[in-house]
Amino acid sequence: MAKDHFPQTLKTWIHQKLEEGHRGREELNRYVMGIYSGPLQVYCRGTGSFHLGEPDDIVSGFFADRLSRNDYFEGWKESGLRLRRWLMNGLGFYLKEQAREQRHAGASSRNETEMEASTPDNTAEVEADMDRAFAVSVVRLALAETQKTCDTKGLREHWRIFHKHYYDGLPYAEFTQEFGVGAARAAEMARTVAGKFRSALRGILASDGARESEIDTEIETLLELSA
Amino acid sequence: MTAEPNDPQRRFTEALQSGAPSELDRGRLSRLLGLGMARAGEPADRLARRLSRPDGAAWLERQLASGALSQSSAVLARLASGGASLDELRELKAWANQQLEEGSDTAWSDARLGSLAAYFLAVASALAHHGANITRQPSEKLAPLLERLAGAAPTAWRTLLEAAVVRLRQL
Repeated sequence: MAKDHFPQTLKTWIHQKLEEGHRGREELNRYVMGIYSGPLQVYCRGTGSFHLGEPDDIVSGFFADRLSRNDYFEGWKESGLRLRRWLMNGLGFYLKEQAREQRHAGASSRNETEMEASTPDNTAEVEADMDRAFAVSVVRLALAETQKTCDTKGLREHWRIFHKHYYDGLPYAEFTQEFGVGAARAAEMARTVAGKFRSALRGILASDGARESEIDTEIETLLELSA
Repeated sequence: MTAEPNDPQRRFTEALQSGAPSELDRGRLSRLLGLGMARAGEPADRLARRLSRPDGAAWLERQLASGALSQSSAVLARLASGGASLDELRELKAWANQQLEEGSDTAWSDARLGSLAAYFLAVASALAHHGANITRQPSEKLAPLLERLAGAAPTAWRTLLEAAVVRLRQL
């Protein structure tokens, strides 16, 4: 659950994890890879860098290179950027580095031309695509964290009702019989879980660097992109 | 028809495929993202909390039948059955909105919450019975609000609100 693991913002949490040494660093890296791998692969596709390898391999290489640097997150904190933008910019540089290395390794002239195309000429579109994938990652993680919280707190029936109504989109009247509760009680149970989901989702966006006062606007932007 | 490489639909599908299980489609994504909103939900949450109280059903009937709302009793009586025309619903919604804007209290009095209820019920009736979204709010923002109210509303209104959400998702 985001509230347990990520107090207020990831910046605070990052400090904590970095201070915990190797184990904390591993935990931090796992979180970053889990939520940003998909969006960064989308960015990778948008740059047309297929000559450098498969997007998942490229992103794995990028994480291995950048996340091992001790000052990587310090740099992000000083940048004031959303973490996804910081990682996206970092991946852009990484792609250019990889392209240079391939050139120096004696790649063919045909590939050199392809390498020059690594910087996207449709940056806004690529960023929007990446943000859509980010929205998906955020919702996935929030769902996973909420389910875990419900399991821990003995709210599995609550979770199943929430899932039927909010995920599957079914009206309460269509499924409450199987749970042996009335529609009003089912709605109350789903609302309990919806509150936990909301906290998880907002916690993840705070982790990306959004202040509490900015989170609704952030969600609106992601909604517009996903519409 | 083959999608072009830059086709937004194709790019979105690719984004979904790489970032999530395929079952997290566009509708679900919007619905769940919208659930994360705090600011937009506040007045609706207040109304939902009031409706959830033991006397919620009686309170709502009282609000709809008294004070300024009593002027619209003829339309209000036909909301659930679908007997109100789209023009009547637009008029009721605009009128309720006006009451809300004119209210100077910040404590959300019963009368103000009653106007809010009339607003949402007019919107729900327009959706459920006419398939029209008469607000400027996009469906992904409106649906979570109607869902929250449906979860708290008395049976007759809940049916209307839930039908509105179902219809909203089809628009």
